[in-house]
Order: sequence, then C-alpha cells, then structure tokens
Amino acid sequence: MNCSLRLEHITHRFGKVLALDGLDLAVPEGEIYGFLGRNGAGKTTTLRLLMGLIAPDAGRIELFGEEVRSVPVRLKQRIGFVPQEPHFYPWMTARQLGRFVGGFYPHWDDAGFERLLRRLDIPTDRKASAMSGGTRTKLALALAFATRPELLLLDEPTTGLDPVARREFNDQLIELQREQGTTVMFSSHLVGEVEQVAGRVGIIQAGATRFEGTIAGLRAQVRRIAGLDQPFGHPGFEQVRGDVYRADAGAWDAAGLPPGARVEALGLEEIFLAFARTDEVQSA
Amino acid sequence: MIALLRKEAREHWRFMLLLYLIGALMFLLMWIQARSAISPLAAWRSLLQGFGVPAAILLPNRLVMREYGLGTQLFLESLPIGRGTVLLTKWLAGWIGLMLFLVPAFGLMLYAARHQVYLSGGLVGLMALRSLVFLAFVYAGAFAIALTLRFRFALWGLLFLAVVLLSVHLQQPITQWPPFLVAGEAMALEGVQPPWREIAITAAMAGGLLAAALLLALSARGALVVVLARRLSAGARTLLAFVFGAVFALSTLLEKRVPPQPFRLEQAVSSQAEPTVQVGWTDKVGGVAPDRLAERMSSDLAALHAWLGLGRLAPLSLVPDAWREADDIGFGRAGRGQLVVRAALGAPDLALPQLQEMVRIAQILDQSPAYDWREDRTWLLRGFSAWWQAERTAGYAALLQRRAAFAARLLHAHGIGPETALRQAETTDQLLGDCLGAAYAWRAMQVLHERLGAQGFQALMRAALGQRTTDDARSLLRVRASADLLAQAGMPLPQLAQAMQLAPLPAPPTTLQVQPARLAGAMFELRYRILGAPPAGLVLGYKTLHPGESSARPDATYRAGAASGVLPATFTGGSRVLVTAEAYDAGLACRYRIGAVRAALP
Repeated sequence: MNCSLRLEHITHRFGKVLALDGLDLAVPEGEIYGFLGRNGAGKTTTLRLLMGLIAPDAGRIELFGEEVRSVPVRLKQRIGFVPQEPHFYPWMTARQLGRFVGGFYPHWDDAGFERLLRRLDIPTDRKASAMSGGTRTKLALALAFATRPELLLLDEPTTGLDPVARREFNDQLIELQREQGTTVMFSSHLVGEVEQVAGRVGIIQAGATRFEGTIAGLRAQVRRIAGLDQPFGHPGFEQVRGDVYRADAGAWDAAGLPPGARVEALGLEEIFLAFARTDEVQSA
Repeated sequence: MIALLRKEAREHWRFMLLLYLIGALMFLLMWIQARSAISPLAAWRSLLQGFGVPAAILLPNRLVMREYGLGTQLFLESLPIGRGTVLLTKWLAGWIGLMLFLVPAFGLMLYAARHQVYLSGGLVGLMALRSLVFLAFVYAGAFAIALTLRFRFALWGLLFLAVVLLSVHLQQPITQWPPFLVAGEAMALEGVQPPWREIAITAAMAGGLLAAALLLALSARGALVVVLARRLSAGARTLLAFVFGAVFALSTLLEKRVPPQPFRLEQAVSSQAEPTVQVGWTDKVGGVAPDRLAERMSSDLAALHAWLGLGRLAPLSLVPDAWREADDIGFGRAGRGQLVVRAALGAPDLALPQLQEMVRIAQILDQSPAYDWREDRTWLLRGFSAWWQAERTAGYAALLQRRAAFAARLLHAHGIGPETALRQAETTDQLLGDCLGAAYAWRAMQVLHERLGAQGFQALMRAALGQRTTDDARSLLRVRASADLLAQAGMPLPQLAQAMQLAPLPAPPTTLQVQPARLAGAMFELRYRILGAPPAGLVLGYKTLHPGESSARPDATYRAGAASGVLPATFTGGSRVLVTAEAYDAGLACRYRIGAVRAALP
C-alpha cells in the first residue's frame, strides 16, 4: 500500500502535558482518511505537526515517501490545509485571497480557482469579513484545492456549520477529491460525517491510535456481546469498554460464547464512543 | 516574500499615507523653525526625533499587532512560508515604509539648504550614517518590544523608568550617551569630531536588538509569539495599568528623592569662618589674595546675614570661567544648598566690588528665589547690594554717584523718567547695561537711606529682601509688591522718583544704528554704525530672539575695531535679533551701554 503519509511512534509534549503518546498512522495515497477523536485527543496537534508548525519530540515522519524530522516548506507546498475556522484577512475579497495565496504555490491553478469559486457559489467581490462561516469554509476549500495539493488536511472544517451546509461541504469535498485524486486526511469528532466522507478511519485517543483501518473492518472487529454475566475472557478478545469487545473477524466466528450471550453489530458512532470512553473505564 | 510585501503594502497603505502627511507637515514646520537655528540642517535632526522616532515605534507595532492581534497569522501558518520569513518580511516592510519618507525628506532638506550651508560630502555622509544607525536602533528596539505583544506596554513602561533612573544617576546628561548622542544637536554641524565610538555602540545595540527580535520570533518555532498574542484578562490589564500609573507617578518624585552629588571644588582656598566661601583660584583675584578674599567675603556675608535677618547662608564657591568678560559675572546652584559664582577670576580688570555685589545677590536669591521672578524686586536687590558695598568701600560711593548721574543722562535721552525706570527695571537694565543699571538702583537706595533713616531703611530692606520664599508660583502671591512696601515705609514710589530727579543734562552724543542687508537666499548680515563721537573699547553684543524668550542678554560679543562695520554672523530672514553696543569709560570705570536695538529681519 502506497502511503502519502506515515507517522510512527510520534511523541510530543507541551510542557508536562503529553499530547501525542507514540502515535502511529498511515494515510494511503488517493483515499479519504477520517481522523476521529474526542476534543483534546491530539487531532489538532497531529495536524500542526504535519503543517510543520511543531516538531515531534520522538518518532518518525514519512511524507510522500521522504523521511523528515519535521515538515519543511518545500513539502508544505504539496499540502493543502483547511482549518476549523479560517482566519482570512478581513479586508481581502475571495479573488484577492486567491492572488495572495497563489503567490506561495508553484502549481497554483488560477483558472481552476475561478471555477471553484463559481461552483461553490462563493461571491468574488465580497470581503472575507462580510462572508458567512459556511462561505468562509468553502473558500478555504477552494483555496486548498486550487493549489493542486497531493495531500489535503482538514481540521474539523465543518464545526459550526448547520447540517445543510455541512452536507454540501462534504459532497463538494468528495467530488473534488474524486476529480483530482487527492489524498485527504479529514479530522473530526462527528462520526456520521466521517462515515459519509471517509473510506478509512483512524481513531485517536489520549495521543495514541486505538484503531486504524476501513470502516467495514472496524465494524467487523468491534462488536457487542450482549447477555454476559461476567467479562468475556477468551484469548484474542480485548474488552474495549463494558460489553464491547474487539477481536479479529475470524476470531468472532470461532469464539465459543457463554450460554445466553449473543453478538451484536455496532454502528460507527457506538464503536467510537466505546473507544473514546476507555479512559473513564481505566480510571474507574 | 514578494507576495507578503505586497500584502503588507495593501494592508497598511492608508496608515502609511497618514503618517507621511503628518511627517510632511512636521517637516515644513521644523524647516520654518530651523531658519532661526544655528544651521538649517537642524530641521533634519528635529524631523528625525519628532517624526522618525514615533514612526519607527508605531510602524512595527502596527505591523505585528495587526497580524497577531487579529489572529491572521494562523492563516499565514497554513501557507508554505516559515514564521521567520513572515517576521523578516514585516521587519523589511516597516523599514522600507520608514525609508520611503525619510530618504526623500533628507534629499529635499539638503537641496533646500544648499545655498545656506556648505554641504561637504563628509557632513552629508555622516548625517546619513548617524540617522540610519539611530533609526535602526529605535526601529529594532520597537520591533522587539512589539513582539512581546501583550506585555509591550509593560516593557515600554519599564524602559521609560530605566531612562528616568539613568538620567537621575548618571553624572553626564543622558543626551551625552549613546544612542542619544548619535542623534544629538551636533549631527547638523560641520567640523565637529564625529562620535565614532557612540555610532559603533548604537549600531551594535541595533544589531543585538534585531537578533533578540529574531530569537523571540523563532523561539519554540514561533509558538512563543503566538502565546504572547493572547489577550490579557481584564484583571491583569487593570493591574498592569495601575502598576504603570504608580511607577510613572513615582518616577516624577525620583529627582527629589535622590540627592544630587555634592559640589566639590578641588584645591580651592576656603574661609575658616561661616558661611564658607571657597575661592577656586590660587593667584590674586582683583588684586586680593584668595585666602584674604575668602575671609573677607565670609565676614561680609555674616554681617549681611545679621543685618537682613536671613536664614542660614549656603556655602559658596567662586569658580573661574575664562570664557567670560571681566564684568560678566554669573551664579547658580550646585547640588543641594550650595552656590557657585562664576567669573573671570584671573582677569586683570575684574572689578572686586561688582563680584562681591553678585555674591550677596546670589545669597539673597538663594533664600528667596521668587524675587528673581519679579521685575519690581530686581532694582531693590541690585541697588541694595551696591549700597552695602559703598558703605564699606572708601570712594566707591563717589564712583557710583558718577555712574548714576551718567545713567540718568542716558535715561533722559531715551525719554524715561525715574519712576518709569524703577517700575520697568528690565527695560532700564537693557538700556543701561549691568554696571550703570546697578548704579542707578544704588541711587534709589541712597535716597531711601537718607529719607527713612538707618532704622527705617533697615526695616524696609528686611521686609523687601529678608523673606524666605519657595521657588514655585505660590511665592508670587506671598511676596508683596515693592511699591506697597515703599508706601508702607512712608516713601511711596512717585515720591522716591521725585527725590531721585537730577537736573536735566544733555543727551550723550552717541547712538547705535543697525541695518540688515540681504545676502544670498534668505540670509542677512547686520551692519552697525555708531553715530556721534567714536567711543573707546566698543563691544557689540547680539543674539537671535525666540518667541516667548524673557532674557534680553546678548549671547555673543564682538569687539569692534571701528565705529561702523558688519557683525561677524549671518541671520535668517524672518527672525528677530537684539544688538547692543557698549563702550568703556575710564572715568566711570565700567562699560556703559550706548544703545540696544531690536530688529525684525524681513
């Protein structure tokens, strides 16, 4: 599997706070990768690391097949970024922003940017300060795609948007990704959204990856065992939280469940909640 | 970087334009003001300090704050550009913005001054270098402070406090230290030794500040600046404002809290008796040995102290000043409760009585500084000191009598009667000069002494000169008008003036004429002519008068060889000048004023 991005055993501290604790993830080329985690799990720190704004204390970064200590500017030119809340210059219009941003990218597609503005229904002569939150986010997406990036990072881009705007944004993202074949890493804590957009997910919790794989694979591995009188201690089974267990797909078929117990499939949201609340289980 | 520079230009062009307009207006005003300065190039120094420094502080502050305050640096961080490049571009943008105004202004100033000043390559180059180094220092410092974002006002406050503390504690004025000396007054003058050492120190400091700014900008990969950009809480802001206000208020008291260094005159001859009089001259002063002079003056002051009922007299030092004329005696304070009288102690024609008169005046004014503020008190002060001298010096009264008669003759020629002369003592002194002015005031004292008797005269003098007052405006209310004191003593001012009236004498046969003559550009020379009999020892004094200036004493003198000629200075059109002419009269043993002319140049 060719990966645009691979992180191995990444650790990063902010003073006494351990933000990333041996994080591992790999984003395959040409796919949309959903990066799920609670607030404070380490999603934004990971993305800031990939934007070259911080360097890891330990670990290995491989970007476009090149191993780097931290992300240099020349590799950043191949990455597009859509932040949670775009801080555009309030006095600039969309067109002025395009001209400004285009100055930093060698493959800036000016005609493509104009097309994106029309397609995403972004007013060209309105100042950024007069745009709605949804329009600003769409503008950030247009700016990111006009750079013809090989890797697009999105940091919870739809936070604060209403459901309709969120759906429109995600639809456009999928379409554009298909057209350009860009690798996308989409961070979010909204499970439904990730389910709609991504084919592959990584779940991060307390700075470490708890799961990485396809959504179907995740569903196959993580299930609930209902009707248990006591914890199920079969080899190959890991208790995620309560009656939610994780095991290889084959192990589920071969497992001999106690009488009265039955296996139930879970939705992505239930699986995410089980992973995300693990710390509460551990501290209890 | 080009895209960033373009962005900065588009973001700040309105602010820059406003700054340039203000700068242009200031440049115009300073150019007009500099016409009366020692060199028109002084306008550049004024512009550098009045506009260059505020602009060099405001520009980086705005460039940094607009980016980090609005949070748009987060947008920049998402682009493929390093934080160091962003800061470096901002540094360059501000510097270019500053230079875009100042470089043409410098050129314009040189062009406009080309006919008034000899512009050597050395002078122009040195001015440019000093200006660049000084501005680079201010700009780099302001940029480094701007990067501390939410703490910038606290840092400015600390910096202000440090400068105030240094100015209090340093022996030399702070303007004589780098970087202030680099942009000092001398930068516009040709022939002054360039302060290479100070320029090098300032340049090194500017480099250090630039390095500090870059270090601050790049520390923790630029994260420190981002953290500093967070707004202070309301409580922290209030606390900071309170601390800043308290520090500012305390700094105004620093000068009073820290006593200045005591004034010490090395190798001076000192009196044994109190009050202490030190003579800083080892040879004879006015024909008297320094130790005898010190004792004599101390004894004289002790008697004055008892007679006027003064408070404790301050130690006094006589300091030689070779730059002064023999009859030009000045005084001032040196440290706490110490007086210094400056005179040409080694001059063969130094008049000892005049020196002693000035020592008494210094002591009386030390106890009542408010007298110096009141025109109606100066003739009393000077007349009394001369009267005291005449009472103790054989033959001095006869000399003063002759001088007073001559003074009355001059005043008569100017159409000024005794009452006007006493009421307008400043004008009288300007017309007569110091020597005759004192003699005329002595004449008034002599009349008062005759009419009031010894006791009445002493009581009047104690009331008029023996009060202790402070050096602020409140004392103006406490000090009673001389006319009231005279009336209370039974000798109203008109009656005193009547008693001083002498038989009218013909006017002296000499007068002063001054004629301005235009040179190239807006410069003038002044041609003088003494009409009448050519006087002996003619000395011309001159100065440029500035608006609101109270002193009318010439600050330059010219010993003229002929009764007509040209003053050895040029003056700028539109300025006002004062020219005085004095001659020496052997019979009066003093210089008298032939005339004083104020002229407004077209």
